[in-house]
Amino acid sequence: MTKTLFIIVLLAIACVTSIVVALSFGAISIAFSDVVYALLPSMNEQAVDPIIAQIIVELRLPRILLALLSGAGLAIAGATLQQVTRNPLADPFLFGISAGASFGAVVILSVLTNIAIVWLPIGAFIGGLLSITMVLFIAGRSTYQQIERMLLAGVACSFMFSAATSAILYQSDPQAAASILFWTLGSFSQAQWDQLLWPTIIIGFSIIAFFAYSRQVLAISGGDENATTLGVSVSKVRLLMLILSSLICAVIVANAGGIAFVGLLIPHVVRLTLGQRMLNNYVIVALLGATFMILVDLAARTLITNQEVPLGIITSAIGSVFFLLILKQRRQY
Amino acid sequence: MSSIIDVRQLSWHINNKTILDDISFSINKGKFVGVIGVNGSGKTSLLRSLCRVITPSAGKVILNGCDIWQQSAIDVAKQVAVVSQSNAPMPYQVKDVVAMGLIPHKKLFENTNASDHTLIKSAIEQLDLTDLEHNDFDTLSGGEQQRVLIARAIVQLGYKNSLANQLLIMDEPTNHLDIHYQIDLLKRVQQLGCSVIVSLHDLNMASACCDEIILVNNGKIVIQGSPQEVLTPARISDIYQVNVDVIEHPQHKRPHLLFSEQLNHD
Repeated sequence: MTKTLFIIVLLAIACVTSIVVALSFGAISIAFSDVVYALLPSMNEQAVDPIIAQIIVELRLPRILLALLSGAGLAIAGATLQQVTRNPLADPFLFGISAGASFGAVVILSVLTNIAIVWLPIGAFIGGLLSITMVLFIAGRSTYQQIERMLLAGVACSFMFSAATSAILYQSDPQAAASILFWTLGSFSQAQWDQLLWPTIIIGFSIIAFFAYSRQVLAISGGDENATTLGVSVSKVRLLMLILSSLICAVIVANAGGIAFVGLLIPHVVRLTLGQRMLNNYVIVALLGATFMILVDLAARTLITNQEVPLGIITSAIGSVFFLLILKQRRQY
Repeated sequence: MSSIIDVRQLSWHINNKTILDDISFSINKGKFVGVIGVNGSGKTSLLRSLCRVITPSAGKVILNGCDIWQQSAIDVAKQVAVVSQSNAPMPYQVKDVVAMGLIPHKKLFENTNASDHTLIKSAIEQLDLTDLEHNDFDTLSGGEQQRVLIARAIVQLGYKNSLANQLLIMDEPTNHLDIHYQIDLLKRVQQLGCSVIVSLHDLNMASACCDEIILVNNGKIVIQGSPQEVLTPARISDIYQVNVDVIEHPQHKRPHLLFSEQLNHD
């Protein structure tokens, strides 16, 4: 127990540190002391430069909070799905959510060009839900081969929506295609305070539900029959977890585009470094996901001067290399 | 004496194949009952239909006076625990697996409290697993895994309850165990004080340890009775297609089967 607590404290410190660092670095660098004073004005008699304070509170903070929520949400969703499907490849995006969301976004950008761009997140959200509804419909409520049906239906829906997206893009002008590409690669650059409401509600609610069902999820990860004999309604719990993961994913995709690999990477880092049992410790999974996402967003803002690198490129690049290194290291034991 | 479980006209068909065919039997509280039969006779399906894993096509399973399909899965899990070889890996520590026995008893946000930890600890001690409690379940030997699952069943059935009104179902628990661990395991189960239904391949083991034996063939019950009633030479040679002699065991006085099939001895 003490070891677990130690890891949690360590990760919490890492998370807070990454927030402060991310607030401090950017297009202009701000001293750590100013970051703290801007967040806690009462601590200092002399007020921080209002422009600096504005950069921190109005620009960087909502962005970092969105990154924190997204990282925690994707990591927990991935960890839960990997347990309830007992499939190490399970990731919220495997179930067609990002393909459906891209389709929704493309429809808004290319087909319904006369409506405002603020509808893009809503279109993406609806597209994501459309895809997941199809997957759920096909997966059904019977436990028998439910996992296989879920995964295969997810893959099929992914390809179906990708085909529709490609078809529309092929017909549309290059500018729309470019903005769609940037959007599908993910970015927190649009984050604003009033935009944080729905991600906070949905991700917060889902995380609470994941905590509530963590015992049941652990039982399912040990086999459907194992869980059934322990009184767990396997197919219902699995569908509920998939729905919650999908909601998390859809709201993140709608607000920040497709952020690949986080939902897959973080659970595996936890599994390979701390052991499978820690996958069920959502505090650890969430803290690691949040810290990773904040640092990736920091890299996206600062790697190239005056230009944003799409998040998806960084998460995929770091993620895949890190993943391969861990796998190689593990093979030596 | 009242019955722990009462099975009435239970049938199960899948893909037009009849696996369980009009099965009726009843087991009194506190009995240790063995289920025997050839491979594919329906032993495992029968056990699985007693704990809501299989939904029967027809018939009823009455547990402590209530149909198991009229109760919630959680209520059934509070009365019936299952020890069987899991088909999925469980890469968790022994104490985590034992703690899974709490699942039917805990509300969604309820934490594991001090008395739960005491229960888990005593179950682990009862099965002599204290030295292994931090080991990974998947790395244990078959016999040790069975003991862990029995400890889990103690937590599951013994949570704020006596074991007298509870049922333990075991599916071929002695498979792959050497004779020492087979006897050790069955002795430990006999001492629990709950009713037990266990499927066994070793007929002599079944004879030695069971109060009653149910012989299953082609999805039907051939006979239910004491080892003396069930294990007759004619019946066993008919069902198992082997030559068999039955003698009285010199110590426990129960039937002991001698198989006289000649394999090649050239």
